[in-house]
Amino acid sequence: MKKNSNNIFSNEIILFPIGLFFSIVFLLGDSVNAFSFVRKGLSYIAQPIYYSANIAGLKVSSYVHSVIELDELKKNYEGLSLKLYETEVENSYYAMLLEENESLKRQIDLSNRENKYVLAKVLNGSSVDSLRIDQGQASGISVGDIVTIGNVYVGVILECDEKGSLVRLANSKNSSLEVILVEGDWQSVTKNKEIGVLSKAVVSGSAEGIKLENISNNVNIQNGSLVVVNDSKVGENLVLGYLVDISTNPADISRTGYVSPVLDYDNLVTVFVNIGY
Amino acid sequence: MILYVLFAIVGFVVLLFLESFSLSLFGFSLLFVVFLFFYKIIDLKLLLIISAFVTLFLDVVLNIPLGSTFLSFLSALFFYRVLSLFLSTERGFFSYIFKILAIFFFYIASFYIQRLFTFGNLGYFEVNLLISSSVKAFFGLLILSLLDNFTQKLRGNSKGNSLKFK
Repeated sequence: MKKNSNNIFSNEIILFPIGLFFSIVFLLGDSVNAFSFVRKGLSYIAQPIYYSANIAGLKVSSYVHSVIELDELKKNYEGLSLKLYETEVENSYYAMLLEENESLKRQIDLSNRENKYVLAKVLNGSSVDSLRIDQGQASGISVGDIVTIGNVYVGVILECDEKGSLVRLANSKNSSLEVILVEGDWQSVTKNKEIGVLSKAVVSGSAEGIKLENISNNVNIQNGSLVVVNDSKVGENLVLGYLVDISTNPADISRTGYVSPVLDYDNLVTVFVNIGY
Repeated sequence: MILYVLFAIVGFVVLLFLESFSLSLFGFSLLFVVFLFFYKIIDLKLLLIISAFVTLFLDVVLNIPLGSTFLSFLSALFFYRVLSLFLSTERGFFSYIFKILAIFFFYIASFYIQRLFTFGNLGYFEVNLLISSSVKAFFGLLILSLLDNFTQKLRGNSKGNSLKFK
């Protein structure tokens, strides 16, 4: 009898039961740990390959997930950026409050309490020898009023309008003040306290800084002496800064030097205007 | 002979790496698609021996009962063989449908066989399994089609089933 070669089960049918038999043998044998030695042997070969592939797959998967969630990540980023800006604004507000608080403390501790002061905020300006403040005639400020922080001299009101004023700083070329040189710390200079005067002098603004002239040649004055404004136009016992770069020529009648201001004029935020001086 | 042995070792390592990679990346088994592609290209006896060998390694690294992947593979291949009784599995629209069904059956069988021999029961019917198996089956068909197209380009017009490397 001729064998039908087209019958799909003719040759291959026997392979499926054989395969089935082997797989059942492995499954049942493995369930009673009969093939643990096979597992151990095969794992030595296959585990490193599987581990490398698994790590590579997880890395690619992570990238794919990142790409899929790009829109969500963008939204999160925008949200976080917004929160960051809000926090920065909040921090700036608290920093301003802190600065104002410290300025007020200094003002209460070191200023002349008999005078009347107006609190003003410094507005940004490009000039190095003047600054603008946010208080003007509406607050009772007038031209010639003195601007201070505690016992430290800042400048004098040069121009004034309803809502703001222009302050001429001590480093302005048009500024000229009588000062005294004393020893000690700037915080120790107050209205009612006696201070030992070393010399009188005159300060004026210049391109090099605040220049100090007419310092007496007779007394032993050194760099670091405190420069205190003592001028009838602006008041007494207002600290300006420290003496630096004093001239050393003994042949001169008087000596000169420069003043390193106690305040950094570029970073001023809160000042007090002494009205009605 | 040495060359064949080297080819076999490299092929085994590459196959195991790709299978592990695709499993960890998409949960997709490349092995069955590759074996389905080689079905009727190489001798079934050889295909079953190779698949039994490779799936044993896979069972070990995936820490599932030994022989479960081979049993799933065997069941799906038998199912595919039964389908070929009705219509051609070589060409035409239904050949794609049969291939999708075979791959789909492989995933379903693989899940329930592993479950049966690990927990001792079949668990409950899950819709997610059907959906994921369908997606994987469709994806598997795409890979199978790509492999078919690739080998058709390598084949000479007059050489029949033999591969021709230019």
